[in-house]
Amino acid sequence: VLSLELRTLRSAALPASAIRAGPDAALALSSLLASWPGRVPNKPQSLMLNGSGMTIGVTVEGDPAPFLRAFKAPAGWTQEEPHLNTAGSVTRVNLQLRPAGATP
Amino acid sequence: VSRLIGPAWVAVIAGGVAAVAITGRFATRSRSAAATAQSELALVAKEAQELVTLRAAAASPAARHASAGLAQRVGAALTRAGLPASCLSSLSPEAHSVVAMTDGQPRLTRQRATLVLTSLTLPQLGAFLDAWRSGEPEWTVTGLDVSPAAGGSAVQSTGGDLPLRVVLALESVSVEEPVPESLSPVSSLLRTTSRGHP
Repeated sequence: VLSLELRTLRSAALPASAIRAGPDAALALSSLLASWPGRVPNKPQSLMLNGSGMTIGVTVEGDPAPFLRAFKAPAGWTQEEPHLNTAGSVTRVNLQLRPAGATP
Repeated sequence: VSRLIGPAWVAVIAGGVAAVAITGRFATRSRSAAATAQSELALVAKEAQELVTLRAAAASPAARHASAGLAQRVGAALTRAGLPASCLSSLSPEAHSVVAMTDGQPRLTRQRATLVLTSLTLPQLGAFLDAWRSGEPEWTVTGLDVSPAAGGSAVQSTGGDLPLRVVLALESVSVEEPVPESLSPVSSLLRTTSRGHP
């Protein structure tokens, strides 16, 4: 009788475990904010988080190097090479982060 | 008398050896039976534990249908986070996508929704996410798009008071037909067992 019910419940449980909602973006946001370089002047312009990664747009007055040095990818994330666009004295930095082990 | 001592010792020794042999044989059988019983006990205990886990999973809130009243859920989360209802810019639930199941299995459905909040600060966003996470565990925030709200003050170009526009992607997976109680022939046995072993 035990085996019968186990078989029934296993057959019902397998699909539920196989199909899950995506990763929790709130946790990713929390880890990003915890590692944000708040002491270096910068102006966040956009932030996108989803199952494939994070995209961050930041503007920096003058040299973006101090910000890039201070920014560290949160644990469990890897940072790709930043994209820089300079207009006048302002540089827009676009950062792309992916979950560790994920392929671009 | 001295002639009888030798055969007597031989008889005693033979009897002792026979007794040891017989009891040793029984001991070997008993040890084997005990090992079998122990392995069966371990298997049954493992299956019983798995059964309890599976039954709990089948009855968990995540297994219930979670999509009903999404607007009310969002409104309640805004209230718990101390945010005004005017922060809610739009809520767009998508149609259920049914995951194909074989006969006899519960039907799994996935639902997504897009929620847009505006004119809230970063700490307020954190409060909302906290309220949503604790109050609606069956809904996961799978995507976030944060940007400065249009028309924000030029002075507040940065910092925690900057009004934001946030687009949240929500997703839930639910079971349409939970496993009925009638399919649980050992439920009474489990209840008896759980009373005996809290």
